[in-house]
Amino acid sequence: MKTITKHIFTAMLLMLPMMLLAETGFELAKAMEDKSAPTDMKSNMTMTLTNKQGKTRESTIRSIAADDNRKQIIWFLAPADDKGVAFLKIEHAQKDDEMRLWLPAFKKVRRISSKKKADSFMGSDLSYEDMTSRELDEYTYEILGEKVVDGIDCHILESTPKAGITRTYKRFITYVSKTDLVSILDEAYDTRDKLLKRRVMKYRKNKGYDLPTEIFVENVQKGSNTRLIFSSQEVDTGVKADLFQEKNLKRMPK
Amino acid sequence: MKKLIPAIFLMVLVPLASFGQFNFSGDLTPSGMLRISDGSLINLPFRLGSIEVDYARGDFELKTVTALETRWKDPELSEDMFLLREAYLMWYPAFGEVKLGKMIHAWGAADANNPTDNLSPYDYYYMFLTGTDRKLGSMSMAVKTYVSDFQIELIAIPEFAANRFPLNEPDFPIDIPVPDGAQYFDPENEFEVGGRLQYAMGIGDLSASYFKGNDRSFSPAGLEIDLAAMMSGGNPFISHLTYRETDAIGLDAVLFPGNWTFRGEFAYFRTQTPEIEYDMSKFTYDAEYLQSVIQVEYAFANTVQLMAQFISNNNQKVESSMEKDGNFQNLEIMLQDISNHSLDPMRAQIAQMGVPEFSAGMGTPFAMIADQVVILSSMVTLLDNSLELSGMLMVNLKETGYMANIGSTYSMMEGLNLETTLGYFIGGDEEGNRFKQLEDFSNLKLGLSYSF
Repeated sequence: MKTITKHIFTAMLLMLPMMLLAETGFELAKAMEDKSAPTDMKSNMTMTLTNKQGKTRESTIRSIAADDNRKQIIWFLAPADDKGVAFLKIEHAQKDDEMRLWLPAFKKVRRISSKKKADSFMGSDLSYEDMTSRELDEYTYEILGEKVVDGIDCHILESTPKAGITRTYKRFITYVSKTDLVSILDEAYDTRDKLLKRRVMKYRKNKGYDLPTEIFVENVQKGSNTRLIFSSQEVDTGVKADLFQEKNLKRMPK
Repeated sequence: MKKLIPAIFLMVLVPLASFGQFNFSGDLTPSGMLRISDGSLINLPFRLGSIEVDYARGDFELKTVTALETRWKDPELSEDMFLLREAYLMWYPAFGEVKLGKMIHAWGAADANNPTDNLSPYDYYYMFLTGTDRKLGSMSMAVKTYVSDFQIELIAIPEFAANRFPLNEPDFPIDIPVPDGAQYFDPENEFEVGGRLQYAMGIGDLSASYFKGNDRSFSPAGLEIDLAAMMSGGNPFISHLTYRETDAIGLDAVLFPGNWTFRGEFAYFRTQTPEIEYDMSKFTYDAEYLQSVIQVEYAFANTVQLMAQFISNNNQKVESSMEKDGNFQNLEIMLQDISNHSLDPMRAQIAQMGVPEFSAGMGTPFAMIADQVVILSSMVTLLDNSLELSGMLMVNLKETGYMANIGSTYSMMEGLNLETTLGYFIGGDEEGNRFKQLEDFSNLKLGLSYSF
């Protein structure tokens, strides 16, 4: 009897660190959010859209983001018929987000409804919702397990919008790198709980940050995909808040 | 000296290019319109292409837009023209933006039809196009500043610019009644000012504007009697036209209730004929009118969009009068005293003379066609955004009149699009029905668009 008790006590002592270290889904999501991120980022990107017939269309984009991606301004530099179009996004905590599109052919800044989150961004597989941040407190989280993805050991984290939160997706399954706490693979399910999009991200280390080098988004149901390749990135350059104004949509990007 | 010009050009251009950033873009847009009734070519000018050159250095940018206008046949109707459509300097200080030069302005929240957008004149050759394609640049200065959720814009236009009308253009579908030999009085005060205040709310944007200036379209100013011409058997009547002084107060908004988008514009106009020191019988107008556009949009699916637009033009008050001068009165007396029956046509003409009917000189161009219309339009993209189909139906609510338009834009390869548009007009038999005049303009338009 004493031996059994001794074994049980020993097992509990061995399990104690694991019990102490086991985190909840919310804690994992919070750890991802609390991970250090640049105060701002300037990047040049190539966006390649591929339809299900394999036909491609390539755009060149200049992007500047700040405030944890809550403010972003994007200029389309190519192809020629998109050149000059620019997009401004400002996420607000207390009121509807602002999204504005500069249309050179009309010489107007057109405000877009932030409720049209399902709409495609410039014909890509990214929707406007895909381009906005997920607020930590608007979701419930659960760790479903572990998996190795592309040689990277990952947690499987399920995120579900809370009741009353309107989103175009029913839930997300995110494969989170255990070492770097970044999303390696993100699967979005539509309102019928069918897999709609799959997003794969690659990173590189720069100044202590994990910066994306490539984002691949596949619309599983349509058979199309969008690939974003970052050709240059600058971080913590001191981007000023007044950059995110309408006037800068009209001028050539810096 | 001529041999030095390229060298001088390079001496200026190379340093500029070294210290700043040049940007070139443009398009080639050959197109043709065929009349549906008989397949004949509608011979109106079109823009064969345009080029935009931008130069940026620091907080300054210089923008120019040049276009080439031509027509397929009968070049004697107009010369091929290189048009400098815009050339202006932009400065981006911390407080906002400042622009100076020849430029096109665009105000208003609605699409295509904007009663509050009166800063830039329209080119009526292109009135069925959208955006800046149907506008003309004018010399002006604009200052815009951003304060919290507010935008404040002030514009000054020192040099008056009128709408460009297709006069003496056989194929233009709308009859613009300008008498032969009519003469124009330029505005007494060419200087115009405007201001706009925009507030960004959570649910949308709200704006108020004011413009003080001159009508963009001419109106009758008076009638001069040339007795010498009459004595020699010619037409004694010389029409004079002018541009009324007009104030415009506007409100516009874009709101996003639920999944809908609402865009609206309301403009109130007060217009008066200016005092003209000239020896003639004078027409004077003192009028107030309202124009409004209410637009509702809904996106049913990711690739299908529907839009409905209601456009209205209402004359609230029109006071008009004709002040006959001495020559006119003498002519009336002379025609009464002379019993020569060869003068009967002139007697009839004099008897019918009065103040021409009032028409708005500012606001949305469609006020020229109808007082109240409803426009329904839709757009869908297919083949993974390679093909864009659009449809539009315009219904005149005051008299019988319809316009239907179906268009397609097919992306043949990157930067190259094939564009087709079928436009059809149906008008009623009411006298002066504008849509009836447009019936023969029903057309098939084919064009290529290459962007570089």
